[in-house]
Amino acid sequence: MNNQSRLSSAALICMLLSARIFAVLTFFPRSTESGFASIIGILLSTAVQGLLIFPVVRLVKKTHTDPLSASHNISSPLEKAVTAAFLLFFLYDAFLDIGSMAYFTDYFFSVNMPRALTVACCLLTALYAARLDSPVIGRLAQLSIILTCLMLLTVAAGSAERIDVTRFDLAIPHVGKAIFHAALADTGRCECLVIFSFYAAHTNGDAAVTARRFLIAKGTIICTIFALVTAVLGSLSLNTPLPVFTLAATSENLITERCDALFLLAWIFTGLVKLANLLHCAAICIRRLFPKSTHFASVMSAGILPAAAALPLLLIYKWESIICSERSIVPIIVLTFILPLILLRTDTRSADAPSDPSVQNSV
Amino acid sequence: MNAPYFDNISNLTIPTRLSDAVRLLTAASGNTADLNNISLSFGKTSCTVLSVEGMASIQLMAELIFQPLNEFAAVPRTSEEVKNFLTKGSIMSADRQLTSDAKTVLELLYSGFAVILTDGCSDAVCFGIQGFEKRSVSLPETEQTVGGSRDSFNEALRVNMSLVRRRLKTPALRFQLMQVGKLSRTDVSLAYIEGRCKPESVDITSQKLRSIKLDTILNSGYLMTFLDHSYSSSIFSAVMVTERPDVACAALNEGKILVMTDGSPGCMILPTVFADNFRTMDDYCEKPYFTAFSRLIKYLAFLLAVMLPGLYAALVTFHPEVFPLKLLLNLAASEEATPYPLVVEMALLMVLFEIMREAGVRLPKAVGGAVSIVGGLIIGDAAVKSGIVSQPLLIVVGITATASFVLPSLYPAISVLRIIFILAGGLGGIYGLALATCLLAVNIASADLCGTPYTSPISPLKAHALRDLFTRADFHDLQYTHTTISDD
Repeated sequence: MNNQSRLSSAALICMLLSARIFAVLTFFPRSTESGFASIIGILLSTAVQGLLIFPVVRLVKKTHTDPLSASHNISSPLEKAVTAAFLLFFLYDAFLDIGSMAYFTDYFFSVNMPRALTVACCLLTALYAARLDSPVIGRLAQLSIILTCLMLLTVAAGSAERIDVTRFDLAIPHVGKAIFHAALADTGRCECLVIFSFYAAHTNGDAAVTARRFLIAKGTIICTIFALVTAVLGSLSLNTPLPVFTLAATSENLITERCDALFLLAWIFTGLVKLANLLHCAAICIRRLFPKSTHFASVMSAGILPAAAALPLLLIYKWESIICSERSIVPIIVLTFILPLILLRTDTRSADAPSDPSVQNSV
Repeated sequence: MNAPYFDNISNLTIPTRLSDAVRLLTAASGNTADLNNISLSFGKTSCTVLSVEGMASIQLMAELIFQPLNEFAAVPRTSEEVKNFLTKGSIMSADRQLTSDAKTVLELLYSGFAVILTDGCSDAVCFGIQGFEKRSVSLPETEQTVGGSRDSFNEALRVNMSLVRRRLKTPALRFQLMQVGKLSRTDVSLAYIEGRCKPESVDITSQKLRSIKLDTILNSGYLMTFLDHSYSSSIFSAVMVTERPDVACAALNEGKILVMTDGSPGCMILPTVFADNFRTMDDYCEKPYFTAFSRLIKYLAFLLAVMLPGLYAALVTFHPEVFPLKLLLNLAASEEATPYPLVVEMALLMVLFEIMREAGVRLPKAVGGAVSIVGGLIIGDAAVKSGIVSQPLLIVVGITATASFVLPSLYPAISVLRIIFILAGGLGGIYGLALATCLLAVNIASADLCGTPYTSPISPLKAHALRDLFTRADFHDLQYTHTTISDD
């Protein structure tokens, strides 16, 4: 693969962070009793995720390929099954993201736009980015992380007076259960691990170093967000939708009374970057499953399918049932741990063997 | 001659017989009235000196061509002696070319060369004694600085090359010359510093220029679309045009390539990154702290120029709760009095401003002041007093207009983006602005040239170049560290 279509380590980390940050800015896990317990759970979850992606890192180190190409080297039906699994995951996640963006934009912000138009605008913007190469999406992700950090700094500065460290308490009946629940919920929202599994073989840097840096950055940012919300608003706010929006809305400074407009800018930006990433990955999977499809057709179908699935639920106001349901960790464990482990065990090719040429131009 | 491209004489050589040679070249030129033909005799050997009226210098022709030839013609000479005298025995011009190809002879003739044809010799000796009228080196008009140099490129390619060579007296500075344009045969020069620039970038650029099949190249703008593959799809261009030789030399030192076009006062620099639009030569004449301040001002000016009108429209229309109460009451009172929606007022004012700006550019200087008075005082003041637009809106437009002139190289992009952001913010609020910002970011991120992304050094992150985004390195440090645009 030529170096121009490979991602840099920093770009991949930012793409993964964008995905995770959008998830945490959108919705905190339900039934969160204590912010402090959530933070401990997140830290534990981050450590566990390091073990979860270990097979992927080993696979990349051994075969220099991603799971799709590794399965191609074993057998064609297996490749199709693996590709279909990744495709379904990406499409489902895109479905959730499109719906969440439309739902919460309508819920919180008076944009005077029908939901269908909100979905259409998001989709077209994401498709515009998804049709480009992954290094371009990586650059976009780097910009989105900078914007998000600026937003968090501004919100934190505006809320500094109301920070109360006594809100970090473990005054809940079942501390262990809360920590375990928080760890499970955090892992269930880590679609970024699947994206890492997809892209890890296509970076310039070392996959293990990239993974380590990503997990450290992710843990730091997510814990910071949780800590900020807990310290300013208290643990009860963690059960409201978009608690970071509430935090931004109460953050004032010398120029503005509220920072929710800034939050909306950063949230939409990271959401679009994540959506573009997911559609790009889904389009690659579609081209692997249907080699005759063109780049444009694969990107369009990757975008239209989840949008078409989300729109009816949005229009009949049933989206809340989707967003409030718990996210299962099974797909993440299967795609990032079990599948690479199986491929690692069954792959008999050496590391020097030529990799699948069809993937060289696909990312 | 059937086609205007000299195709029918491209494989012809100059005949040995002088009369046939003159007849061939005169016929190929269509007996054009500006072709001068002077015959000389060296006893049995005859010569003809061809030149184009207004292209070759009369004075140089008299001093360097006719005077030596007249002295040489004092005794009879053979054709071989004449040829040796012209090619080896005298120094008549620093640029001397020997060719027997008819097409090359005509190209040199129309480039201001004097062509000497000798009877019995198939080679034409061409002397570069150009004397066509050209503008002298003058002040830069669009890139003025306080402390930098006051000279600028002009339309003569050789003058521009000398302006660069004068500042970089290194043997590593290389120029490649080529003719582009099937009809115009415009001289285009590629300049780079060997060892700083990536060789493959030079090769690719040279190949792109040589593959252009346009008839005429009258301006460097004709070449940009061929050099920058994202020219049509991206709002920003990875090729920058400068009229300052010092900026061009600084770019060469960073490993970039210059493309200079004869007849165009701008010199193209490639590849450039987005941050290059915010650097001026004044940054290297001032102290680092002031450079940092002025760079931040420029970045702020860009954000204000592009986003302020849209942001104002979005916040006032959809998110008024952001404003402090006192400001909100003033804004509400102002907007209440106006008949049109804010986005319509904003768009109208911006269009009016662009009309006045275009008028100011085209008008003679004597009348330009009147346009300022009419536009600024009469229209602006009258519009507010009549209640068509609100005062805060006029303030926003004024700030935006002033901010957009801080960055002349980005003005075309800013003008278009401003309108897009006004519509996005006015119709969709901050949501619309977020979508527009994302689209803009995608547009910027997708541009790259010669392997250098337009968002460098932020993305991909290059730590050694990050400091240069916000300030300039101390010259003491620059003595020991030097990076180019291709360094990782």
